[in-house]
Amino acid sequence: MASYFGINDCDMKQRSIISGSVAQFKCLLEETLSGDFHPTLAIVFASIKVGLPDLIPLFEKKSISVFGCSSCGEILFNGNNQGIFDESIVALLLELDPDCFCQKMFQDHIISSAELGSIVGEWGQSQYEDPTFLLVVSGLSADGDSIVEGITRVTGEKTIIFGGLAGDDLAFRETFIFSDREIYNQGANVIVFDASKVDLKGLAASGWVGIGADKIVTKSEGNIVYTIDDEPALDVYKSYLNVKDEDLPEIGVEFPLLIKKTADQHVLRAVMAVDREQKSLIFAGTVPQGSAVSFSSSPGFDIVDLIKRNIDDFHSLDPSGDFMILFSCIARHQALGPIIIDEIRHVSEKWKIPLIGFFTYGEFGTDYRHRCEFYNQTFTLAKIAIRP
Amino acid sequence: MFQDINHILQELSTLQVSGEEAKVLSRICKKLEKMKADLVKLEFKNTRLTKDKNIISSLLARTSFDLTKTLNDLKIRAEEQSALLAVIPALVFFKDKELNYLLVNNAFEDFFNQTNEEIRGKKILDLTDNYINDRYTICEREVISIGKPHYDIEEILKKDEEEYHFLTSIVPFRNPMDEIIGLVGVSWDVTERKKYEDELMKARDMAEAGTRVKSDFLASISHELRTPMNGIIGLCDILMQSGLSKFQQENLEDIMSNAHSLLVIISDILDFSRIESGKIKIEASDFSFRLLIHELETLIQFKTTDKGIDFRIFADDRIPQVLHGDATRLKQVLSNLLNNAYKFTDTGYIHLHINLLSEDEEQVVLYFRVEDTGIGIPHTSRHLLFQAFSQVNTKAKVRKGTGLGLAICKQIVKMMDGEIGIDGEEGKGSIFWFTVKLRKARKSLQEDIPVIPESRKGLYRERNNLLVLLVEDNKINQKITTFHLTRMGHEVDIVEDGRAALEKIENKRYDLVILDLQMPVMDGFETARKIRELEKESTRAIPIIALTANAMKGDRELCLDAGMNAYISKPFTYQDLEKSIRDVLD
Repeated sequence: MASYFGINDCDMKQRSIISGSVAQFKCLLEETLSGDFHPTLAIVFASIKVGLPDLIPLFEKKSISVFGCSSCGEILFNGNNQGIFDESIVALLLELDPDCFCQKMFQDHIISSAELGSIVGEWGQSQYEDPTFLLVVSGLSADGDSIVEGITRVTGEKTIIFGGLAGDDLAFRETFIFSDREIYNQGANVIVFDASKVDLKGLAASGWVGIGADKIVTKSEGNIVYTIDDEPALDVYKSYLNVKDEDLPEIGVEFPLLIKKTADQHVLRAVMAVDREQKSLIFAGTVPQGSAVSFSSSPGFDIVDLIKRNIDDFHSLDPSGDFMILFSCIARHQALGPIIIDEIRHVSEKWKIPLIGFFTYGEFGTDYRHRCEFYNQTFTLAKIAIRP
Repeated sequence: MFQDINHILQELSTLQVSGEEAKVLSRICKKLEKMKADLVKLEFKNTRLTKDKNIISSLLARTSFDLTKTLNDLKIRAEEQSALLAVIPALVFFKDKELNYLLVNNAFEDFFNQTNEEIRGKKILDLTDNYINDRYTICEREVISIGKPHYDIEEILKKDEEEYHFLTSIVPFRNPMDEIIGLVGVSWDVTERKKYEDELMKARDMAEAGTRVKSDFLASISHELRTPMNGIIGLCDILMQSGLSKFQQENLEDIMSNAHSLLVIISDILDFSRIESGKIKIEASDFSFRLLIHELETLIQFKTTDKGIDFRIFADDRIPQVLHGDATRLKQVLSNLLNNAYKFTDTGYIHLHINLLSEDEEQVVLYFRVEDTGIGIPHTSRHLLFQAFSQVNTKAKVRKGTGLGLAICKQIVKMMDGEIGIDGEEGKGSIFWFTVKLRKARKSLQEDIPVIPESRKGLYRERNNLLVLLVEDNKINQKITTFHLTRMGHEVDIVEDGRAALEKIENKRYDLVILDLQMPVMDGFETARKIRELEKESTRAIPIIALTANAMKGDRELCLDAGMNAYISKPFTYQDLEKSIRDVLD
């Protein structure tokens, strides 16, 4: 575990830290902040096991805005700090002009995800004429689709949004977002950039494929599916995958439902939780009643090559940038195991700029080819470039 | 193996080497580390593949089961659909985008006596030479090009010299991507129905022709009967004023009374036959509702006073003063009901209630109720009341009449978008009610009053000895009218047609023209127009009063349009004529 100091091409100073504990992180942070380095923003992803409440005060004292959340595995590729980590804290500290970004925490205990989205959208629009959004969201019941819809209803369909749903190391109990002052188990931590000063772009790719015949969601509400083809959803899921009760919900992220939106468009929805009493499945996103769905799976380890090709295409279009944030679905980690590092390293090798990220329970992304969507199972990469 | 590599690495790390050997050792360690990493990946892949294999095998097994079940279901459904198509008596067909048959049902095969295989790929003209329907082809193209369905298109085709009629419906046939790939059609053989309809049409035409002939005959005969009746009544009127003995006076009064009754019957028959033959239409114009009620009151009041019956009218104040509708017909219905009430009521009262039932910006619905304390109508006979020629038997004496009055009322009310009905109890009186829809007048009634020539106004007050030109071809009518005019103190010239009248007017200054409408050579309408044309070059405008045989609403407008100032219908009394002359000259 170590810290890394580096200077980017645009002279934006940045330093990163990887640590296995808060105590160690504190020392490394002190070390990092010594000398002529005055970061304004820290991007921090950490396991719930490190003790998040102890982590927050470290930043409050330094007056650094924190964009942070709990995760299912941490990612850092910056100089000597390279790898995928478990039960750790990764941080990227940036000397970013405070005029080009704003950060704010939003709590959604008493409001719906759509309302949260609308409030976030309104706030973003009040900050900059042309805002772009980075957000992490906590709460296992958060409805990513509604959040996207809420934001874009205010700011327009073409709004650029990237982010992810916080994780809890596959415990599926409680996820968190945090800043330098607060920590919420239901809310959103949002950074809004001034698009005239900061360029935010990225890609989102999955690779999962549908298996088997289409089925119809015969009863659902929001992200809870009660029946599929008029049979209890949990029974259908267990029976088709031939899995034991104790395998759920963990296995649910690896074998998501593929929801057919149109003849050639679909989204994946991973199982986040199960309600054994009601025999229902709780997904990481909306599953509309009446949807045609099928089971799906990773097509195998070739998927890494597919994602690499996507990365190459994006790089050939836009090779510049200052730092990157990766929101990679935990399902990919589960399915690809140690091989997943290949697709992440490929990004780092292509751009050679700091890359921080975490394994998520859902991703927000505006693929450079499409409008913003809420995804599951994707490799969602956000690339940030400070305009000269 | 993983542990072996770890062990080797540990062993190697204990080695104390330097220089070139150390470099070699470092390379070996790196290779071993890579092998270790690859082994980790391989191990994961192995575990992963086993897990995936199990799950995907399960998914595929279930999918296979699903597919088998789906295929079976589809097979059963296809068999059901096939059976359904087979038993449908209509001709069912599928066509591709080029309008070639793809699939037809059993009825289609049977009709053309060809199998599905023989029909497939053919067009309709390949199946029959005797088919022409350009519209159908256009419809088919519309289904294919824009997806517009067409229903009940008539098709005729000949087979074995017989003509078959079909009603065909065609709708687009789409693939799962919603693209039109052909059309589906259903043709119903309606040949028998068509024959039946044709026969019905013929029967209806014949029945209608019969009704028209009957109505025309009745209308014609009634009209012809009115003319001599007018003569009889007119002459009786003259006789009444010629100093008769009491015996003669009483007998003459009976003749007059019977003649009037006969005239009412003739008028009813004329009206009813005209309504039946569709010759009567609602003639709407602005009219004063208050005036209409006043006229009714006058008409009925003097009769009821004689009989000692209390007659009152209760009208809703909210009813607009001026309305737009057929006042003559409305008055006819009310007169009929009030006269009926008068006829069947010997003591008590007759009340007319008029209420505003509903109102909007455009129109009002009025509710009229005639209540009497007469003999009443038994419940069992009420259904007959509004039927033509029906008279209800009551416990009381048999009353006179054709039995047409209420039937006429019903027709008129219907023409005014209203309803008519009866309440009350036998022995306790009757309640007849009806509703009518009337439009609100768009302008004040004052604007529509016929113009009386200025030069003649007040003339009646100045002179009683007017010079009158009577234009009338009927000798009896000439005699009656002349008698009345002379009695009023006027001088009368008589001519028998319009042309003669024009000659007279050119040579003599008349104060008034009384003009019959139906005359040989030149009728009353043309004569009036010619008179007005002649007057264009002078300041003279002779008042013209029309004499009509029919009190039809349309006649009044026609008279006024032709330039006449007033009209009176035959038979008229001395008072009628005097009032009319006063109205146009005063």
